[in-house]
Amino acid sequence: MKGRIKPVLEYSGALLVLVAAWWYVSGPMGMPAYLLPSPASVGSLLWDMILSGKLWPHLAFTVQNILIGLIVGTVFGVLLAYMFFKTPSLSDYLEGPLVVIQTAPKIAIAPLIIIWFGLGLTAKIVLIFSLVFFPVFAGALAGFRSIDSRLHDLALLMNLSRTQRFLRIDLPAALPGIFVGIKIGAIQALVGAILAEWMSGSDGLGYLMTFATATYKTPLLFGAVLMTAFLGLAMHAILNEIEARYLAWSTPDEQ
Amino acid sequence: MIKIEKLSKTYGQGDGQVVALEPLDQTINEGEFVSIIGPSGCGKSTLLRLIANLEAPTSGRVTLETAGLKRPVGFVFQDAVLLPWKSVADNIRFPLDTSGVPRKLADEKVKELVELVGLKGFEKSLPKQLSGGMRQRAAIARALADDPPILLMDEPFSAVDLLTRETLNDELSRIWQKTGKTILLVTHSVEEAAYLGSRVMVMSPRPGRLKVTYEVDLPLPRGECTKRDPKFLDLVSELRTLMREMTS
Amino acid sequence: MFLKAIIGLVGIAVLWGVAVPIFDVPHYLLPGPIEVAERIIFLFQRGDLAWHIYVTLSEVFGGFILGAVVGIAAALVFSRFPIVERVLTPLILLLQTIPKIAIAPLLLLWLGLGASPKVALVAVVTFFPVMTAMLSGIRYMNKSYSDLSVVLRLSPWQRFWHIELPAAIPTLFAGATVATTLAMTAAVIGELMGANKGMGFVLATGQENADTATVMGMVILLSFVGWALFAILDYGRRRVEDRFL
Ligand SMILES: Nc1ncnc2c1ncn2[C@@H]1O[C@H](COP(=O)(O)OP(=O)(O)OP(=O)(O)O)[C@@H](O)[C@H]1O
Ligand SMILES: [Mg+2]
Repeated sequence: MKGRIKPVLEYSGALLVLVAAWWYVSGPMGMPAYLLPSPASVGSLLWDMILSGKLWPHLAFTVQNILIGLIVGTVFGVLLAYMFFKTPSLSDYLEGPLVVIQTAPKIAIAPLIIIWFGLGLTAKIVLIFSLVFFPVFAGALAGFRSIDSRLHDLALLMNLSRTQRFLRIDLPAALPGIFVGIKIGAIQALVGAILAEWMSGSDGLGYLMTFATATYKTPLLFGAVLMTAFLGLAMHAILNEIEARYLAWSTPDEQ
Repeated sequence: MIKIEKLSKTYGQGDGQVVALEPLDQTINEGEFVSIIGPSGCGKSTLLRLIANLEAPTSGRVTLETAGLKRPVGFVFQDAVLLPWKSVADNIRFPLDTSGVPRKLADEKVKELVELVGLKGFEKSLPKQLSGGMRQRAAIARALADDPPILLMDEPFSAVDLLTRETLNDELSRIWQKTGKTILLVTHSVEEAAYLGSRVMVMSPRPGRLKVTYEVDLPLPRGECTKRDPKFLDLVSELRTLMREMTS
Repeated sequence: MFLKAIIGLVGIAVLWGVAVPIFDVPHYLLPGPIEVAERIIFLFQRGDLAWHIYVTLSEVFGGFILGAVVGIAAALVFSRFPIVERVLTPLILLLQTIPKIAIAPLLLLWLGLGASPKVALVAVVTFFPVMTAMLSGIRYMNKSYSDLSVVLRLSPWQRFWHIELPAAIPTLFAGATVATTLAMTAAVIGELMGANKGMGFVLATGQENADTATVMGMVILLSFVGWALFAILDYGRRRVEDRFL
C-alpha cells in the first residue's frame, strides 16, 4: 500500500503546480480572460454544470461511444489477428498493406466515415472502432506470434479442440500483446471520439469544445478540455490497474 | 610525480560491501615505469581508476603534479572503448580534435601513431571491422595521441597476439625512455612487468592490498639481451612464485 | 516479402475496382479506384494539391524538428541534473498521459487557424517519444564512454556532441520513428479541427461537399505520405544500426 501513496502524492503535487501556474498566468501575469480564464471561473462553471446536470449527458455520451468502440474493436482485432496467425499465407500478402495502414494517420478516415454513416451515433462508433481495431490487431498478432512454442506442443499433446485451444492457451498467452494494443487503442478511441464530436453532432465533450469555441465561451472550452484530460488520465489509470492485477504473471519480477 | 596517501576504496554499502583496495601509500616519481601485477580482483583496475579520478576514493587521496593540466592523465582501458561511430583514424585523432589541435598537425600525428601500432591500411575502418587486438592497438594509439605526461594502462596488451605484443612492449619502452613519461601498467604477465618496469608493484587479493614492490635494476634500453639477463630471469621466477602462492 | 506486399496492395485495389460495379455501389458512396486516381490527378493539375501537401509537410517537419530539439535538450538536462528529473517526472508523466487532442482546441484558440497551432501540436506529440528515447540512450550508454569523457576532460558540449548524441542515435531513431506517425496524425487533426490550407483542409472540404472521391483520394495519399516518412526514418535507423552495431 505504501508504494501506492507516493505516486498519488507526486501526481497531486504535479497537478497543483500546473494549476498554480495557470492561476499565475491568468491572474497576476494578466493574460486576458478570453484567452485564459482563471482556474476559479472554470472550476465554478464546471461545478454549476455538474449540479444542473448539464455536464453528465455529454460526458456519458463520449464515454459510452469509447466503450462500445473499444470493445467491438478489440473483439474484431483479436479475431482477425488469430485468423492471420493461423493462415500465414494470408499474412504474407496482407502484411504490406497493413504496415502502410499502421503508419498512416488513421484519423484521416473520419471524414470518409461521416460521409458513409452520416452525422449520427453510428459514424462515431464506427470511427472509434476502426481506430481501435488496428493497434489491437497488431498487438494481438505480435502476442500470438510470440507464444512459447512449447505451449503449442502442449496443446497438441493434450489433444485440445480448436476452441479449447484458442480459449485456454492461445488467447491467454497472447493477452500481454493484446493489452499493449488495447492501451494504444484506448488513446486512439478517445481521440476519435472527441474529433468526431467536434466535426459533427450536438453531444459529447468534443461538441462542447467546438460549441464553446464558436460562441467564444472560453471557460466552457477550458472545462471541456479539462474533462477530456481527466477522462484520458482515468482511462490510463484503469487500464494500468487492470494490467497490474491480471497480467502480473507476464512481467518478470523485479529482483 | 604521483603521490598516493592512505588511498582506499570500498564499493557498495551494508551487506554488499566489497573492499576493493585497502589503504595504500606510494610515491611514484616523474619518469618512472611502474608495473602492477596481482591476481584477478585484487583492485588493480580500481587503483588506476582512482588515480585517474574516475572513481572517488573512500578515504585518502591522490595528488598529481600534472593536476593543473587540461588532461592530467592518459588512460588505456581494459577493453578498448573505441567510439563505434568513428573510424580508426577519427578515434585516434579524438583527443586532439577535442583540444583544438589544428587538423593538419593532428593528421600527421595520427599517421605516425597508426604506423607505430601497425594499423596502416585500416585508418578508415570502423571499430567493428577490427579484431579485438587491433581495436586495443587503436585504443593505445589514441591514448598516446595528445602525449599525456602520465599514462595509465589497464592490461592494454591482453587481447593482442604475442608477436605484436612484443613489438608494442618494445615501442612502449622506447617511447617511455624518449619522452620521460610516467607510466603505470597493469598486466597479468610477470615477464612483461619485469621487462618494462623500473619498479614492479605486486598486489594481493581480498581485500586488495599492496604486497611488495621490487625495484627493477636492469640496464636501459631493454631488448632481447634483457630477456637473457640472469637478473631478469631471477626476478621473473621470484614474481611467479609469489603469484602462485597468492592464487593457491 | 516486398513483392508479396505489392501484390497484396494491388490485389486490394483490384478487388475494390471489381466489387464496385458488381455490387452496383453508388458512386457517391464508393467510387472505384480509377475514379479516385483521376480525382487526385485532377487536384494536382488544378495546381493546389501540391501546395496543400507542402503546407502539411512543412507543419510536420517544423513541429517535428522543434519537438525533437526540445526533447533532446530536456533529456540532456535530466541526465546531467538527476534532481531536476526527479522533480519534474510526475509533471511530465501527467502531461504525457493527457490526451493531446485535449490540447488542440486550446492551441487553436491561442494561435489562430494558421500553421502555428499545428506546428505546436506536432511538436508536443514529438517531444515525448524523442525525450524518452534520448534519455534511455544516454542512461544505458556504455559506462566506459562516460569514463572516456572524464579521462579526456571533455567539455559538456564536446561530451554531448561527440559521445552522448551519437551513442543515443539508435534509440533516438526508434523514438523518432514512433514520433512520425504521431506527428502526421497531429497535423491532420489540427487541420481537420480548423484550417484553411493543408491536406486535412482538403479532406474536410471534401467531406462538406460529400465528394467521396476526393476524401478517399486524400485518405490514400495521407497513408502513403505517413508510410513514406516512417519508411525513411526506419531505413535510417537500420543504416545506423548496421553501421555501428
Ligand atoms: N563498480 C563496482 N562495484 C562493486 N564492486 C566492484 C566494482 N568494481 C570493482 N569491484 C570489486 O572490486 C574488486 C577489485 O576489482 P578490480 O576491477 O579493481 O580488480 P582487478 O585487479 O582489476 O581484476 P582483473 O585482473 O580481473 O581486472 C573486485 O572484487 C570487484 O568485484
Ligand atoms: Mg582489472
